[in-house]
Amino acid sequence: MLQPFPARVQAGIYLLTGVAILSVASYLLDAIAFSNRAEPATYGAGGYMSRFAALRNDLPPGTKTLGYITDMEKDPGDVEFHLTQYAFAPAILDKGAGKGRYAIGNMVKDPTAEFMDKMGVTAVKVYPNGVVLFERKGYIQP
Amino acid sequence: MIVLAVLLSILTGFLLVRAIWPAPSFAWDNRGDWFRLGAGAMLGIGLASIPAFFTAQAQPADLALFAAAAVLFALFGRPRTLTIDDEYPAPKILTWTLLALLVVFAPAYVTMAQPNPYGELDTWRIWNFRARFLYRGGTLAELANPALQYTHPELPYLVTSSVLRTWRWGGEESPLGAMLLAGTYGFSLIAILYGAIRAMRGQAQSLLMLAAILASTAVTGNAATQFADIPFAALVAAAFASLLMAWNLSEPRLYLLTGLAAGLLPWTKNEGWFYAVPLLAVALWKGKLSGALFTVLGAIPGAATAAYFLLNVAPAIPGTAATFPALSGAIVSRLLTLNLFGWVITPVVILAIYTYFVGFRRNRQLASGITAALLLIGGIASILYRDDNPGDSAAFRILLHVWPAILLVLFVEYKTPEECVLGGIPKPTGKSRK
Repeated sequence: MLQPFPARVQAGIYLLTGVAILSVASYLLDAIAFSNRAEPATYGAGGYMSRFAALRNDLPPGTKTLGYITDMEKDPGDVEFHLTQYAFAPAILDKGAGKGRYAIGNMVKDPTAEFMDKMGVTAVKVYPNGVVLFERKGYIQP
Repeated sequence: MIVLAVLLSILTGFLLVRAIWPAPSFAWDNRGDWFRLGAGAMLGIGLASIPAFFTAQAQPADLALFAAAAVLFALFGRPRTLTIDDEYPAPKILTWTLLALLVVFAPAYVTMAQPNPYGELDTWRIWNFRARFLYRGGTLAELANPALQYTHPELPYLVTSSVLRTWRWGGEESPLGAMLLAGTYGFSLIAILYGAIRAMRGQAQSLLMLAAILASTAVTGNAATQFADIPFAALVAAAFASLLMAWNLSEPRLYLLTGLAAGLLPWTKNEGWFYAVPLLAVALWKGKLSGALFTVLGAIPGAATAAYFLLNVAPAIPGTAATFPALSGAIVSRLLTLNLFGWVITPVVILAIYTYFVGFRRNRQLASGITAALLLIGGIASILYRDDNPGDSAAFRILLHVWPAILLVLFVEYKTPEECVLGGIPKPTGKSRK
């Protein structure tokens, strides 16, 4: 099949193409497994954009700073915070009640009065999927 | 319109590369046009990202770039009278096997990219976030806010501005732009390696090069995650392949391509300076006066933009540095135990066996090996100088950047299958193109 190349050259060619076939086959299997991995529609950058879309539309146009409030116990690598920041760009999020009028809630449970007192906010509107719009207590319009 | 934006920059780059390195005819030139297409795509996208960074309107600048490339093509890209030896045709079984592999790889790539349209963690968190921030009215000054330090505002803008450009063309913020660009980067990397070896060493050798880069799915497959290291690796490959072709094909104008691609490296990632300097230094050393002038001239657009960004826009953000023992250990470990090839096979062993079977050609060029070694040293130096993620992750990135260059050196210097036949193979008769 690979005449007139010497036997050792043929062996080299078979080796290299064989490895290529195995590698591409392995990549194909990885890709199929990856695409079958079930993830909720609210996950990832796209998921966060849709999850927070309604709240985002309710914010006054030109809002530049927002607080970020969550009741999650852990957020390794701040991934949840960064996903929320992605959804609200170009507004800049501050962890906690923030310096502006509004704060975004990325919640696991509905916020209790005690939780809101502790954070210094009141709930303005509760949306589906653990999304809450908070207003900072004592905020004075500049 | 997003698709048009990407296609326009690919066409602009292709015309530019054909103007710099003309083909023997206006028709598709199998020997060189895969390289021209791959390198052209990288240069076209890279150059278009510069006005996209400085201006808010994409279309006028892109059309002006296209017009400039078309004028250069009309002036300098006319087919030249060339004497080209006829090629030994590659064995049909090799051609069909590699075509079949490409046919399997392409849908696998799409399957991998499709569930992750915004890219992996660092992609959406850094490169695409910055594009979204600017597209929605944020400013570079606001991006320097300490709260956004994790988005690395000190990193340059080739990747970010390219995504931004497609959105401005399309009038919508669609992940399609970033996905198409990432696919183009991956395709370009493969086309550059295949096309350069095809032009320098013939058809069979180029198919073996294709097998080696397709086997390196850790490199090519990672384009699907939209890592910025893939366009970076493609630019390193374009610059290095141009350099090798300038020597092997005695084409001094290819130094201009070396300069263009090397200049865009620091506009892609900050460590680009550590790769561009060795490439430019070798081009100046080997290129004589004309090569040196072409190289410097080519490097100006990208390097000047990167220098402007570094001095005037990028905020100073302190980083940490790796230690040499930790980094070198991680690199050796990656090469020996983990796979760059998708299957769990160490590429070092496979290529060592292949070297034993085939061997190197007689008239080896020391300069090509020296350049690849300098690129590796440059990559290591960049991490030792400053990196927020030292260790295995840094080692992987260095290998992503340098692996295509290593493959280029090997497949230029390996004997081709035809050269291994004692007494040689009779050349195909007839039609030498003149």
